[in-house]
Amino acid sequence: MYNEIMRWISLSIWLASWVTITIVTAIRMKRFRDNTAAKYFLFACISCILSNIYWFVHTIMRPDSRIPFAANEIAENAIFLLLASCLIKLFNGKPPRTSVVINASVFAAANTALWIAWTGEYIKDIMCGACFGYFLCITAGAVDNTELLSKRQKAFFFVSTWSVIALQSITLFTRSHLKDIADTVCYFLMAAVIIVWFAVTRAEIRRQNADKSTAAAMMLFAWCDIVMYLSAEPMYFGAMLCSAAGIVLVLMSLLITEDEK
Amino acid sequence: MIYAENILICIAAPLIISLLFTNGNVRIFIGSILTGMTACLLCAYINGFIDITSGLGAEQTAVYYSPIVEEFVKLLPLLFLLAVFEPDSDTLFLSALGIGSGFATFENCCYLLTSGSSSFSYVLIRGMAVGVMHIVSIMMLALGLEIAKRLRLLSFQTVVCALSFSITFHAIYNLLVSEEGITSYIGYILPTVAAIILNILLSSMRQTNERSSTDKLP
Repeated sequence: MYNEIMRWISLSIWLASWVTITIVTAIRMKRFRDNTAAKYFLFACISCILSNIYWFVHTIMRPDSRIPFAANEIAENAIFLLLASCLIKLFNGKPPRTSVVINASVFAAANTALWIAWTGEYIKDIMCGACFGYFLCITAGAVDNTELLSKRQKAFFFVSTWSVIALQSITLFTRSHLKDIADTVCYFLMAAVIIVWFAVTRAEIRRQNADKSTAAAMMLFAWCDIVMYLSAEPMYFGAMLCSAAGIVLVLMSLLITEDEK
Repeated sequence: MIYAENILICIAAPLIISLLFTNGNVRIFIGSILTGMTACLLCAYINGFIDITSGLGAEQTAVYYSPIVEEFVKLLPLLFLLAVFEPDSDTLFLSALGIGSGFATFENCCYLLTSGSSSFSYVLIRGMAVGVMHIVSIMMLALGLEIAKRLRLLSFQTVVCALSFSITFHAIYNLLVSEEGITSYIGYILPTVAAIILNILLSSMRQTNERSSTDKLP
């Protein structure tokens, strides 16, 4: 019952925030006329709304059944590809360093392996993992190229994100107490990383630093998506709401970019 | 069991002959209708294969996999057209309309031969709901491609995005009509409403086009 209520509230807030962001971006398209990144962002928003409408309708009509590989997967993958294109345009196609690409790719592959281990849906998870991995590489590259983080912050994120993967892997092979402990520590770590990324993004937006704030906001969105895919209900709903906040910060960063021009 | 290939040959033969006596946009439209009908037959093979290999059943395959297969197959001739002929927007929309009409017409012919045409409500649903849905979904796809082309954003990412518009619309329709009740009525009305909105969008795009071309005149 509680889960049902949380599901409906989260879905509604999620859909409402995406619709609002799309409307705001569309209205400001006159300002964004020469901004290719904003056009990619608008396409991503429209894809997301359609995907969420499908998800909404499915949840109303078939609340107890899991969606297999379905139509909204294509839209979700399109979102990742379009947001990556948005970043590429913003940073004039500057390629990320090889070490960053390797780390992001291996991290995405590890996540994909975990999803497959839980769901058994190979095709869906591999497709999603490939698109998400591409988005993660571009986002990590943007964070690296803008020199957003100090060495200590980089070490913190590296250790905490890979610890999450390690702990989630442990939950696959253990039972009862150890599994619960690993799960709980995982959720704390994931929440801590979200809070820190949120603080970093807000700080850069306050400093009106367009490049850094966009990179930070995109990374926050990417991390919230990872947390969503690694979480069960009701934590899934919390991550969903944080993801909605992340995309609002992406829009705010794009507006700073336009103001700078 | 119906012999869909024979039905295709029977319907397509006069249309193929008519290509010899037409030119310009009429020829493009008839060619697109033939392409749409062939695409429909191809989708039937693929959906049948997925039905058997996935073990989901015909109904679940129609709800979850058919939209992806059908819209992807409809995209292929449009992509070919864009890549090889670089058509203007009118030609692109005309081709999309032809593909969608051909697809819907052939599908309806096969369903009527299988289920009969005695039930007027069934016939109305097949014509006004399913038929219109196929046209609206491919027109959404064409509109997405055209907007991407105009904004100079035509790339793999925007093609996937345009495809996701049509797939999701088709999938929402299939999901809504999969169960009896108020959702199925919403599903039946959805294509007609979407067609009206799409027509308004396309008309305003054409007007903007004409205005910008007259502004450029000395």
